[in-house]
Amino acid sequence: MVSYLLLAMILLPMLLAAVVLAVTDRRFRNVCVLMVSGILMVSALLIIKTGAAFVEIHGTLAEVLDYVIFAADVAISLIALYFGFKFRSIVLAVLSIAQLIPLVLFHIQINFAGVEKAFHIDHLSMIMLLLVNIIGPLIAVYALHYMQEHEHHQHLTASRQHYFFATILLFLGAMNGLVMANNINWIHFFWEVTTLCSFLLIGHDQTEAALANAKRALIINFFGGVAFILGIMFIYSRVHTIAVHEILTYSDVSVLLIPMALLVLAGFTKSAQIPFQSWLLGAMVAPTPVSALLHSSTMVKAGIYLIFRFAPVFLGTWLADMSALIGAFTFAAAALLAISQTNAKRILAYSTISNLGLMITLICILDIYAIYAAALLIVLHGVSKALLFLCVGTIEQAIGSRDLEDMDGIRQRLPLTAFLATFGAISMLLPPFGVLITKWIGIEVTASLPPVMFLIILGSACTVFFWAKFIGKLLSHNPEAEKIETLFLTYQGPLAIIAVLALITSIFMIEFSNMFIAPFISSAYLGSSDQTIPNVLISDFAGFYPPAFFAVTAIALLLVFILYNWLKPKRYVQPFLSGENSGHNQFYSLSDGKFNAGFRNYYFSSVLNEHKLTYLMNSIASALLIVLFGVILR
Amino acid sequence: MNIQIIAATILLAPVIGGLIAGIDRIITARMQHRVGPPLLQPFYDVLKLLGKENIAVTNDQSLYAVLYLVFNVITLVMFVLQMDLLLILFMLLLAVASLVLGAMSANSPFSKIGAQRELIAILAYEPILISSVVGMYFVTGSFSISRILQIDRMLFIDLPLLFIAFTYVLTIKLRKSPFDFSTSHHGHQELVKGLTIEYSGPSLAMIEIAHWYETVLLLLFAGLFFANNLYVAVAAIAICYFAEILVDNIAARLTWQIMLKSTWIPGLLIAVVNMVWVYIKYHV
Amino acid sequence: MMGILQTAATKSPWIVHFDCGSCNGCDIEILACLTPLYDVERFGVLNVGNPKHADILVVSGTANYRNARVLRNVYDQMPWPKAVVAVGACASTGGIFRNCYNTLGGVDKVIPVDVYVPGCAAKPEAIMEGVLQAVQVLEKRKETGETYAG
Ligand code: SF4
Repeated sequence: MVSYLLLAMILLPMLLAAVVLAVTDRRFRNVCVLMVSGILMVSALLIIKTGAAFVEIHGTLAEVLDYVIFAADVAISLIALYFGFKFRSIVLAVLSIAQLIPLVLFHIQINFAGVEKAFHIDHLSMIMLLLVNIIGPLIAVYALHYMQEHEHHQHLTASRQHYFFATILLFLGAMNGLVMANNINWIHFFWEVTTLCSFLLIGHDQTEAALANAKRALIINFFGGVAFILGIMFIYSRVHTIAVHEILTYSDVSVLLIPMALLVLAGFTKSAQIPFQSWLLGAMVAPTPVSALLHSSTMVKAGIYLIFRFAPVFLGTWLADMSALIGAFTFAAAALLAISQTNAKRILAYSTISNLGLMITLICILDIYAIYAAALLIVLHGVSKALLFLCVGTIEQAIGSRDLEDMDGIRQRLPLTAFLATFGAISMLLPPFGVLITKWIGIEVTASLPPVMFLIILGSACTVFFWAKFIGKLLSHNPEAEKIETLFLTYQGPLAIIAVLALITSIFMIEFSNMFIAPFISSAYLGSSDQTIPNVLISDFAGFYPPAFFAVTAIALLLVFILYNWLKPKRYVQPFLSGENSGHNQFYSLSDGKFNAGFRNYYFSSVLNEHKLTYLMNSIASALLIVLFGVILR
Repeated sequence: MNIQIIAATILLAPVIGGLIAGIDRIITARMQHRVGPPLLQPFYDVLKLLGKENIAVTNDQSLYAVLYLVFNVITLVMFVLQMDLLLILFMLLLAVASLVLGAMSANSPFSKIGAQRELIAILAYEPILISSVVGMYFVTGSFSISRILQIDRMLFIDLPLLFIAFTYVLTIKLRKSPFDFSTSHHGHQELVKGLTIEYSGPSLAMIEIAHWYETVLLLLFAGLFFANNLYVAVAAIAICYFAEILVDNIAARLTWQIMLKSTWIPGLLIAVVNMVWVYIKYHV
Repeated sequence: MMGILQTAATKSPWIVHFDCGSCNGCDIEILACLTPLYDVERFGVLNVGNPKHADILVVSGTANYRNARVLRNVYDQMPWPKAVVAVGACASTGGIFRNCYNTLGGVDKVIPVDVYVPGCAAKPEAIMEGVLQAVQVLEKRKETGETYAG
């Protein structure tokens, strides 16, 4: 049963990707995407219902699979090599060769051996599966309409949508494989497939900027891939196994510290930690569903997943502490840089980087609460960010700009989308939503690492600043704006569903924790020791219980509405412009012309010069990385 | 029991807050060689505002004023119920956020400038507020007020620098001169009341009352540094607030650049120094 | 309850001061009321500088073609109940600028005025008296529930 589900989740999307690529008919493609979406959602739920399990593959099938995957992995390196020549990028060519040679050598060394227990579905995988197979398909469905409009704006002669959807489907399959594989070589393969998908999707529009950024993404992620494969070789040379569950049983940390550092480095590149953040920012040129799916809610979490998976091995070491510090540094620095941005997608990108940093910090801290918070943040952030990106995408299609300053009166122009976007942003910033709770836990658990805590404190202050600006813009009122929103079931439908999901995950945080995170902790961290963990752990936190918290908020809101009805404005006047109004927010100038009273948000572009700051942040983060490796290679 | 405490808080806090505001205005007047308004003047003001017409630029703007009030009340109640300090700070943030959003939703240049400046103020004081809480955590081993109150040491003795930093940001938080640039006080009219400019009548009254709650909360927070001795605590609060009034009267408005620099560099520095030493003292 | 609201209304008149183009003589006298010598805050008077917070509009100077619109806007942006005090000869009748080619005359040509304070310049005592009389007007408006209509 489980093996069929695996087929449906990994192989089926990949096969259909080939079909979609071959058959360019639009209606057929839509049916395919809808079908896969349905199948993925159902199979993910079924797999979760079955519970944690190993899936074994024996005999010829296993051998064939090992060869096929090896061949495909080599093929990806060759593709990168090809693009290295095509773009005349020496770095890319060198990296792809640096990947290719160890890959081949390693497979010869292990004689193309595989792992019997090829897949391992544990509760961490389930959390990721939920994210990939529920948010992913929703975004794919959304993209059906989005890409139609996108191409309409582009005035293409021939539609390129079949490339787009084929890549998306391929990506979904690879992502499912990545989070379930138990053979570390396979994880590497799926990892590279997601890199390739990301590259193809960033470059999808074929503009100059798109291609340049796609190239950068490929280079940085290939760098991570090289670190990954070297890490695998190191692991094998130390413990002689490529099965993840066996690697995790090694209790002697010092043996595995160097390979773990390499894997963490790979995770940093994929999760766009500073100094590797530039590719994720560049990736924002891609169509918005791509940003939502790959570059915020799922693919960048692959790096987090990798670190999370191996964290039990190196927790409590220098490596963990340093990684926590780099994560916290990224959290603060990216939040600071987000303040200087006017492009809504870049703000969201910086916020994503920042949150990924927080996740890494939480993962690398030896504390049960931290693990809880990290796992929760993966889900909460994934849902909210997907929603936000899709909303910004919708707004961009409607008003033709993704600049925050052009979004005055968006509330009147696109009421539903603006409402959902506001909701998403609030869920990222304010209580009683979960993301804030994880920050709170972050501060409470890092009391043992004061510098990390300090960075989290600074970061949260900056976070408030840019989110408040963002929300304020979405809510700002412009009576002259006209409604231009058109509703489609497959367009705003996914948005609404994701919004509801965001609400549900925040309300049922504790149930979610007990269902997934507690078993994960007891299997991965406590292992054989018969220590048990308290079930409703958050009860320690000042009696914090989300449903109660939400109930209080709901009552407060009700009260507010009652008061508000009494307070409802009796008369509307124009804003105060020293009496010079000649219309709403319009005034007479000295020359008796009418001028609009514009006001931009503060972006501090003189102090927070993105270019200079990035340089500074990159240097600091690189220094930290070098220190990390310097100490470990001792 | 809890219900009684909650009710008492909700009813008493505005009375105390209003009286503090009244005393503030009298002392301010005396410092300027004036007689000043009657003690109950803030209550007259608010009652008058409640009886006035509510005019607005947008229809949901008053909603944010109410939210500001409600969240401030909730925060104070949480404080009195001795809950987690970090949580309380986050709730306080929610309150300020609703004020800022209200100012931004009214599409008016003055209120938008006020909103931006308030955000900068948040950026300036939030790290120090959280640092003070963390400092208390290092000393007492807990973020919850009920546990902090059980400690029989005076927190001030361990956290003098943090207390100084805290009183410094208190000026920002209370929007007093030299940092009153998000809602300028009467007399300083270059921003014609910034954040609150588009509010009138009852919704302005809501903001005023909310500010009373906020004042009480912040002063209680300051008192937490002296919590083991009630008399000392009250005296400290009184001195602290008097110092605020004094500074309010003798200082000219500063720019936000200076505020941000002074809180982030020397302010955070002394906070960190203090945190480091208590950390070493109690944890190493 | 209404009673308390009414007494409160008389104890906290907030003013907004608008200068229609006076010679600044009256403006200086108006500001003099705030100084320690006169200390108008004794009566709860605040100069809020913003029509949306104000109860009483204190105008100095002659209304002319340019500023009439602005004056009207400021008046319109005040919440009910409100009163207007015209300070000085200019604001009351046009004063020495009366019948000038660009003036309209007293501010009552543009908005309804409740209290006229004579003088050129008006004395601070007179201005304070005018404001306190406007308070009586406010109180009456509150009682009768008279709303602004025009
Ligand atoms: S009344 Fe006299 S002092 Fe007042 S503005 Fe007119 S000219 Fe100047």
